[in-house]
Amino acid sequence: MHLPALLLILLIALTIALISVFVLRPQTSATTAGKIAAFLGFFAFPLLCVGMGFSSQMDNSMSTRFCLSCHIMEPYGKSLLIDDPGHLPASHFQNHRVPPDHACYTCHTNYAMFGGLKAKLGGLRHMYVYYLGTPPKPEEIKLYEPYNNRECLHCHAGARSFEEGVVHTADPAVMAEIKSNKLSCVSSGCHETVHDVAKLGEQKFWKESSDANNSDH
Amino acid sequence: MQTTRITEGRLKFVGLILICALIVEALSFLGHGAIAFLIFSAAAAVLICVGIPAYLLTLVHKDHAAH
Repeated sequence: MHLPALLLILLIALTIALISVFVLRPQTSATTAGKIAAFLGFFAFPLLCVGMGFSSQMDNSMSTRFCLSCHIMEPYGKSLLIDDPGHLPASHFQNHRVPPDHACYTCHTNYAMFGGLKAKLGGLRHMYVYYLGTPPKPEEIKLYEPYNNRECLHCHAGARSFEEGVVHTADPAVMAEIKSNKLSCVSSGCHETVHDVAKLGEQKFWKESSDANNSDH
Repeated sequence: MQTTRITEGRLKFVGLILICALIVEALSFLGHGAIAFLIFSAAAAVLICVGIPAYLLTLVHKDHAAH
């Protein structure tokens, strides 16, 4: 357990102990010191607990482990281990081009104003569909809107491998079209193999080393 | 005397709500998946958001009764 989570658990225990005093002996709140303690136990500490808890849960919701906790996402998690450098998510995950413990969120958030909020609202919608709606089959899952190059360019813009890439610079118009999102990075003939979960059975998989397994995902 | 008893009763009730909320919140940290998030937001956060205003209302009623 991480230190902030441990501190939060300690704060929760302290708050429960403080509230218990007033539940067992409510007359304690009659004195001035009792009123201050009651204010801390019934107002300030619970507010702090819920705030810290919310922050911790939000942080956890960005982890790869969180995304893959729904069974419907398992094939997508498996696709990160496909042994094929042409498979875009797998090569990003295996070569740590994205943090392995935040792999899903890094590519599927929205790098625009309020993008993080939009991504989290999308996540809530996923949970609603998963638990209360009719979830589609994994291979039928589609993005709500076409993948925006902005998310790729958040990291790749300015990188030598991207800016001086042979295909990217072959025609000056191509680079402009990529940067203005007119030509998708994941369009046919470019980086088109993305989470090909329908063909998982035909793939070879990379086995993570013990060091890689120690990463938090 | 009657007012004091009512206030103490309310304080006990609010205290129990908050204790339940905090226990649920602590339990939600045992998991790392979507269920833990749902338990936190649908139970713990909601109970705390009910408990805190209920405590503040208890204070208001106490002051009102004193006057």
